[in-house]
Amino acid sequence: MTQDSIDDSFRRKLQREMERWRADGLLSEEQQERILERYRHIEEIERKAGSGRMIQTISILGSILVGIGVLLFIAANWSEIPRFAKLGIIFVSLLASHGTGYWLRHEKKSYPRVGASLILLGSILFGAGIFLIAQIYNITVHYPNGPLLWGLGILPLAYLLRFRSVLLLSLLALSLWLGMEASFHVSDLFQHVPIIVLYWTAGMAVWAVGLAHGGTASFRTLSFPYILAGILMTYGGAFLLTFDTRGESLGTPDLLPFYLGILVLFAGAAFMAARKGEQDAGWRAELAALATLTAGLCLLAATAPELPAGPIFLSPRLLFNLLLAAGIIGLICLGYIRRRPLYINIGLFFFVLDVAARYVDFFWKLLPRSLFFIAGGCILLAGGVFLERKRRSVLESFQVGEDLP
Amino acid sequence: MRLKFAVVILLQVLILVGIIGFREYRVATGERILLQSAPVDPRDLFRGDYVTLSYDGSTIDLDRAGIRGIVRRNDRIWTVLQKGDDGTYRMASASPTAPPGGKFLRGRVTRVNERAVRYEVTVRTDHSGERTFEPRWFSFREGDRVIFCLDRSGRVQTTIREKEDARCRAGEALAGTVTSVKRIPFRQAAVEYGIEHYFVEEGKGRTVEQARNARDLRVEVALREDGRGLITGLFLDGRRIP
Repeated sequence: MTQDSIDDSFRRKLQREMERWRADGLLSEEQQERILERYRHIEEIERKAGSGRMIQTISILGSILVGIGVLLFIAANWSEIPRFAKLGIIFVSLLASHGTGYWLRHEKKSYPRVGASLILLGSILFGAGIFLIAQIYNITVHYPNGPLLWGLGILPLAYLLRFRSVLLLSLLALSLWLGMEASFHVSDLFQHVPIIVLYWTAGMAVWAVGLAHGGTASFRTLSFPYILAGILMTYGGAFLLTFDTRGESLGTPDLLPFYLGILVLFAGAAFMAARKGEQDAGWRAELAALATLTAGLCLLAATAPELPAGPIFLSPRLLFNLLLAAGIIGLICLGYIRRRPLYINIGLFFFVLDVAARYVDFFWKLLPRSLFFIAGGCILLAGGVFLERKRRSVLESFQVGEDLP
Repeated sequence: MRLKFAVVILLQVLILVGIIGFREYRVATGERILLQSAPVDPRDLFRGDYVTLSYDGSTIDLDRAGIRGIVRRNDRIWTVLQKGDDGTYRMASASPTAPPGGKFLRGRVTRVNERAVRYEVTVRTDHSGERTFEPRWFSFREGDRVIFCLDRSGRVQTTIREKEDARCRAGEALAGTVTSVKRIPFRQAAVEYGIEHYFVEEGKGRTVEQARNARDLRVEVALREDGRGLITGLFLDGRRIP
């Protein structure tokens, strides 16, 4: 693990920090030089071999490619490979990839990053194995079970090794399951709004689970994937509801069991987060906002009111637009208060998305097409420059801000 | 750590083995029967990935089956099977409760069409007197000269207007004059039994031409007493597809 944590960003932070210690008289120049010397060889290694992040990206890409390759090989030679050989390929590649990955990372410790990627590959192969076995045996009984088993099967691995990538993959599979299972249960095949609302609510519960993980030191590394997936689901769902959804119902009684599960998950996570939570500024506001919204959405979904088809200024669409705008501002503020670049980046992303969507909504019919695109492009370019500068200054202020008592 | 890792990986292996075991258990506890599938274009069979199979019971006329109450998506429906002279099973009737005995399939309603329409068309044929057909769709009027293209079981595949060069592409052709057309509204349910998909690899080594004229498709199903089935094989013109 040590090789992982001493990376380039740590060294840069340390250097900056030591400048301040020296200014405060805590550290002499000689001491600073000796400390820096300790880490200089890493700099050299990285200069020769490329940065750790690059190695990680390359090896993750490599594992994904190998995974796709194995799948394609089996699919392309379906009839030539007998059933036992197909199963053999699945099991052997699964065990080999996990085994080699573990050996490289934890036993030999010579290639920790490649080892981690191989374990990620094993997790992808496990999912591929589920679907291939279902194909070999023509099992189509209840297909949402596939992603469910995949997500649950790799979750213990993510916790045991504290792997963010495996956890993210697991969350991806589980959110896929949520959508498939929910669309299985809705009584009308073309009801999309209740499923969007369900994703939104589930996203906030996942977010809260992330907050709960942030409180305990041993699970802190796993907080990030939950928060990332949770925020994306939350804001993605809220964003989709800012479009015209009049005449559709927000919820349906068919999905009530899902909401019950989400409420239990949220309550448990909120309890953990409040008990052991990080005690920095803003966490109460974050949790309170999430709890209020979750309760509100669950209530809306349970009572399933039909969205009225009245004039636009009365429609819930306006409410959802205001809610998203407030949510984006809130997220950016939270990011600033809690020093979370992730919040600020995602907040700005949805800000741009929202502006673009509303621009299309309002001006598509009003402006001639050419003017529409030119003006839109100019606004986006100018906005991009402005936001990038703001984002940088905000992120930089995190370092400066630490001087405050 | 090493032991814990081994346990976690063992869990993954167990899940995979469990899926195989589940299937083998289902097949072992079920009885193998042959189901007649509704004809599909055999060229579709070898187009790769999944083949979608349909059966007589894939769409159910709720009025005819005598199912009166409200039927919604996700409701269960049981289809009773009847053995034909050739040893294959066909779907005979449907009910909203499990039948007390016999062979049946348990299905799930996926869609309900409250305003479906079927046609009852009577024609005076040139050789065999008056006959009544139920085509899925009919756009001709009384007095029109038409040709019905029939499949092996005597059902209408397509209807064409009688012209000099008009000919059925496959099956038996029956020409006649339309004497009456009845448009009957009914409630229709689409039903899934979990035996609708079969994985076939894209036609390697098999020519499409060979399969083109084959129309007799039977599905081997391991059927359990509770009406749940799993596909164990596919027969095209009496030959098992590997």
